[in-house]
Amino acid sequence: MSATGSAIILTLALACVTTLLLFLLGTPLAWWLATTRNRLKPVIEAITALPLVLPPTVIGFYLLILLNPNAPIGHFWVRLTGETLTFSFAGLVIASILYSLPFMVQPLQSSFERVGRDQLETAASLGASPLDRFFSLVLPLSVRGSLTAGILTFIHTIGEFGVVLMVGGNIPGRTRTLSIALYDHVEALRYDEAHALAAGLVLLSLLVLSLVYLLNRRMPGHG
Amino acid sequence: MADRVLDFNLTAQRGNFRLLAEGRIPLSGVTSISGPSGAGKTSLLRALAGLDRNVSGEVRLGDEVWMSGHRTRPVYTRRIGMVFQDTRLFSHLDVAGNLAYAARRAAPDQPGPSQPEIIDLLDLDGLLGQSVRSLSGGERQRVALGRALASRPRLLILDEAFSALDAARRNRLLPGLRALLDHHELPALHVSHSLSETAQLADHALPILSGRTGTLMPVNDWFAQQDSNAPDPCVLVTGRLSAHDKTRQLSRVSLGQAQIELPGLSDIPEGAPLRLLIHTRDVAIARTRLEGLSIRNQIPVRLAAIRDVAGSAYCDLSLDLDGQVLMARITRSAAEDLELATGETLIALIKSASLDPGRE
Repeated sequence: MSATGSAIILTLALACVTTLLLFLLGTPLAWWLATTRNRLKPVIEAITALPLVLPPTVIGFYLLILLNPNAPIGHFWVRLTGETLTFSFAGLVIASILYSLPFMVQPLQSSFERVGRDQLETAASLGASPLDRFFSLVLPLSVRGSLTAGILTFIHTIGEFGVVLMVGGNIPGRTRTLSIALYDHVEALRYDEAHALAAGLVLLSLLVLSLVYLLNRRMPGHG
Repeated sequence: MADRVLDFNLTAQRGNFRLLAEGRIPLSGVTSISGPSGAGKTSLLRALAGLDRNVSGEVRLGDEVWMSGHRTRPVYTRRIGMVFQDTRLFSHLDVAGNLAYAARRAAPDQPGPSQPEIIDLLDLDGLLGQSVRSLSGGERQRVALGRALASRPRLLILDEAFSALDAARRNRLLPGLRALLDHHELPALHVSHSLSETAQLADHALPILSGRTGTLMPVNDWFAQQDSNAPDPCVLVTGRLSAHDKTRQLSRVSLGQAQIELPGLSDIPEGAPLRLLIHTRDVAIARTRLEGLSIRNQIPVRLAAIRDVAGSAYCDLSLDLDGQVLMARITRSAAEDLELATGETLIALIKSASLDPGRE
């Protein structure tokens, strides 16, 4: 397989796995943030939003420290799987999850908040337990927000660079994602290949964002 | 169910507003919580249902504890059918979906109205497939009531639940709802600004004023109290609409053995029970039936009591009509001239009676 081909497949795989795992992790977090009266809420919100403002290299640096085989987490992973977390796909997934967290949690949270207490207490009076309310009311009313969150997370993961470089390095087929491959091409002065990748990413992002805005216009939100 | 009560003694704080509520509401029939705007009617309903924080005290339904101190039973296990004024239909479901949402979560062993009964009562057949967004305000309120009934609640709570219905629809619906509640022994709490709604639905009234509850009383007493200072209080009499006379635009209503004819009841289905408000000054009495009089409704009653209205020229006559009480307000001198004696049979001349206490 060509180097570009394997970079595309790796990048898509990373984006898919990251989005999927972030749905599982981000949904409860977003729900907690949307409904809690806990005093710690602003702190947790700030931590969630941190990847938006921090340079990716900062996140990458700390992850490198945390995940390397001599640190407890990295060591545990090596004993569990025989592989290191750093410079591996698993490490990239962990890094991407942290890096893309706000893109999943924030749209979900605001969409959950829009469901409103009125609807929830009505469902409760009809005999729906908290979990039942979440699946029968909150999720169906948050379809648009969930789609937005998923798409943004996916595309944002595709485009990440700094964190990947720090944690994953540049190993073809293992950690060389599209943006790394692009960097590689430019470093080697292969501008034709660089152009193809860059234009491809621009087009893809444009398409996906148009899709998001289209969804926001077309899909019924909250009544 | 008749011996069970909803027992409460609670305080609730909402901003500067403080609710101090105490009472025992019988779990049979309908109890209207009545008071001016801002008196705390909705706050009381929400506190009883367990929807608000900052409530403490005791709430018990029968022997089931709903709240004790700050510990509360979760709302979803209480089985209350709440109908809110703003309907709160689920917008991701159509009308049938909203009903099904409630029906699916109803306790399997709890008796209650069936789906066809609900659809029939609220005339929902034509709406079932519609999106809730396309409904008018009145239609939304009908669906919201249907949804609450479909959850087969142990207690129905109606908070201004009929405010968007037009008078004709409401006049048709209320007797039917009343009959359905009776048939399924489903108790209800009711808040409304409409006296006619209270007249048609309620058995009891619980007054509330400035966040404090008063004494529970029969709705007749409450109506009498409503304007006890006014020159013309009214009483509530239960009857049944027996037939319409379309050509004369009159409807025949049975009050016990007696029959009277009244205008303005054409919206009410034949056979439906209804309650009439009769102002005391719209009732005159005579010793015999009278000919040559414009008042057509002349029915025999038994004089139960004579009571002076203090500080006025009037006295009130309590008239027994097959167990119900009719009141006539006449002057004391007329009573003396007629030489009335309690226990004797008289003819009550009823000039008008209506569903609504307001005088045109």
